[in-house]
Amino acid sequence: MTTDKDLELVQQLIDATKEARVSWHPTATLNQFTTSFKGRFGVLIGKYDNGDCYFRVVDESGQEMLSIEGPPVGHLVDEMWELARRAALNVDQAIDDILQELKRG
Amino acid sequence: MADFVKQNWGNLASVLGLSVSVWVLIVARKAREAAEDARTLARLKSLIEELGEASGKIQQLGIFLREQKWDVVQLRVEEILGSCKLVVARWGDHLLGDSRNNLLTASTITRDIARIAAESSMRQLTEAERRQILKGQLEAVDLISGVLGEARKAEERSPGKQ
Repeated sequence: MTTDKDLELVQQLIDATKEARVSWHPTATLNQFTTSFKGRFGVLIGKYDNGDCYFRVVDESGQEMLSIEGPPVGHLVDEMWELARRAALNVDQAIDDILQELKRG
Repeated sequence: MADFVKQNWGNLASVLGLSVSVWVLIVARKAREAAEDARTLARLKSLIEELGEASGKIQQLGIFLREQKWDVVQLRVEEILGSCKLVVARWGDHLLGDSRNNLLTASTITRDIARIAAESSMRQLTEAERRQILKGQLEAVDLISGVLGEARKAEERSPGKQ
């Protein structure tokens, strides 16, 4: 069951990622990214082979504390995944660099 | 002058005594500060040593991943996770900026490597999965190296070092 607090967490994380206040990193799993908070909690966001996305919060020992996926919040998790991917792979920076070079040429 | 000393020897002795006390206090404070700086430096050195070991192990992990020695990978992962946990527990107060978060992120990635290594005993990993596991390992190397760099910077700036 997804609570309002869970939704607020995903929404706040989306906002923080858009403002580049969160640093995302690729993991050893394809299409999965992670970040940490307070040195105690890890957030994992990933995409299954069927295209569905998942959002998980784990503690220091890797124990899953929260898992969000599927309806009714699937669209938020999808948006979060895309933003995390762009941040982890520095997509916007790459686009800026390419645009800069194109404008110079 | 001699008369003055004779008449005021008690006052002069008090002033001298006070001066000596102040001097002793200053010396004691400086000694305490020096001892604290030395302790901080010693703790930073231990932190750097442990992080250095973790950094070496996570780099070696890449070799075992390439050779697909999954049992060794599992052992190495446990050692790295142990080092990261120890660093946070013993020297958490010396971890500056994002270091604590970066160490946890490196642990999360390392744990992910262990999970995939365990899966590999049940099924053959795809080429893309093998590439990604190595990317993850490099990401963890970067993160731990960054934390080590911050700790070395703190050591260089430590008053005990100067």
